[in-house]
Amino acid sequence: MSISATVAGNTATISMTGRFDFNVQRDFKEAYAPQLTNAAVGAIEVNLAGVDYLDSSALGMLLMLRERAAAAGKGLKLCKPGAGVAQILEIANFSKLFTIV
Amino acid sequence: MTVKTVESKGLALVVDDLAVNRQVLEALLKIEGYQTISAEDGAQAVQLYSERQPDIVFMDIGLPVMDGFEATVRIKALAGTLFVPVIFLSALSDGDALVKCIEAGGDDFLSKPFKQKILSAKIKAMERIRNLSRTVAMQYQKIERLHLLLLKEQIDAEQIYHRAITDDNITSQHINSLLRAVSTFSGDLLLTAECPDGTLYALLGDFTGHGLTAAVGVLPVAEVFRAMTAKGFSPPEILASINSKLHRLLPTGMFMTACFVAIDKDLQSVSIWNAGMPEVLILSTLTPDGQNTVVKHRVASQYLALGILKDADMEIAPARLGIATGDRVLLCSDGVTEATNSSGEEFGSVRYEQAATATQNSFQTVATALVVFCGEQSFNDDVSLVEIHCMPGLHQAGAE
Repeated sequence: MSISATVAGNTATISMTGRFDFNVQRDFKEAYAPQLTNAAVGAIEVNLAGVDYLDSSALGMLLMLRERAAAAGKGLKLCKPGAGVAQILEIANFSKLFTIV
Repeated sequence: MTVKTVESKGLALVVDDLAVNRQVLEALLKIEGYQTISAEDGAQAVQLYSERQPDIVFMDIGLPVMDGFEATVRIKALAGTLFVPVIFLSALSDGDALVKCIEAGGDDFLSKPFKQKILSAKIKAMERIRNLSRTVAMQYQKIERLHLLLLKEQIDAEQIYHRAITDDNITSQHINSLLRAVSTFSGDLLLTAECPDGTLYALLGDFTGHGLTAAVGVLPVAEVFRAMTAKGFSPPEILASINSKLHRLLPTGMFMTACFVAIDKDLQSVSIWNAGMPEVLILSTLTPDGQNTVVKHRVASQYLALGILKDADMEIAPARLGIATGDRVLLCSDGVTEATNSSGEEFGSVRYEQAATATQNSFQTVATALVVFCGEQSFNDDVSLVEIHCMPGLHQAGAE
């Protein structure tokens, strides 16, 4: 799993590839934490295009990010999930909580 | 056993076929504070080692009966995880001889004629390593003891827990379940109970993760379920209560996916709420001979898992689904569909449905297919498979 964070304009994009599971927890937090306190960032996008596997601990991590982004006043979007990941997000009914594009 | 006096640093085994050599080394070792025993050949050395367990061994190479290399291999094997230094003795001092000694399992090399200073220094170095090795062995034993205690505690706690949860479940030949936890505590939960009006309620829950942290929410959920079912509350009311409870109890990121099934007493209709679980299948066998089992209804997840939002979003009331006697309601946690075999393939919902419709005995067929598919690979998540067979006698209260 590799995670990178880039900022363009006022949007920070966190891109992930590989397995999004409990092993990724620390890296994921370290990728988004600076964006929450970055005044130049108004919105965070999580790019899931390269993610081939998502489990319930990943869902939990997204929920944590959602709470913290809201507390920091930043927008949050989940982007480009592949078919498998999109299905998991659908079963979880995460569209009720997240903007998924 | 070695009898150690206050002055003695330990027991040394000296192996040399020449008596004079043995005597010289023994004298030097006594000065170093060691008690000594000696052997004339390799076989005797191995024998003495196993009888007396010396703390250090000085081994000549050219020995009758069994040479020094072979004797060293056997002594090291007898010692096992314990570090017993073996120092080879030789008239040679060249590098090749040293290499051969180390390869044979020896730890150092002492060349003749023996010098007290050098012997002393080598003994000190070996003692350091030996003490380190003993400390490690003691720590390992301590860790192992503590681990066993912890495990026993968990097993005892789980038994109490398990009885508290499952003792009040309905026992019926028409309810089949397969529940396999990955560790001592299960994060999956099956609760069954009957309402005062005779409706059968079944709740299958799956907490995030597994093990003790996942199991912490099990007891509160069970209590809410039982108390409210006994009072005849509706499933959405019960789910909303459980949601509130878990929202307060669980940290952000932890939740419980759930399936709630309510089967009417007349076995004519069922209502199902699916919050984040794999599709619930209602299976019907069309022909009396048992062939042709089809999916009559399927209920996909429509709600968010419980414990995420402060107020449960249950505004979509599910339709009441028509069923008939003989139909089966099949539920599973994602530990089933996501179970993998040794190639990393997932069991998947397609195989699941294929197995469920292969025979009229859906539960057994799916359970067997799952076990066969996974083979040697153990489950990486808690597994739950539940089948409720809609038969007369399923509802127990006031059987008419």
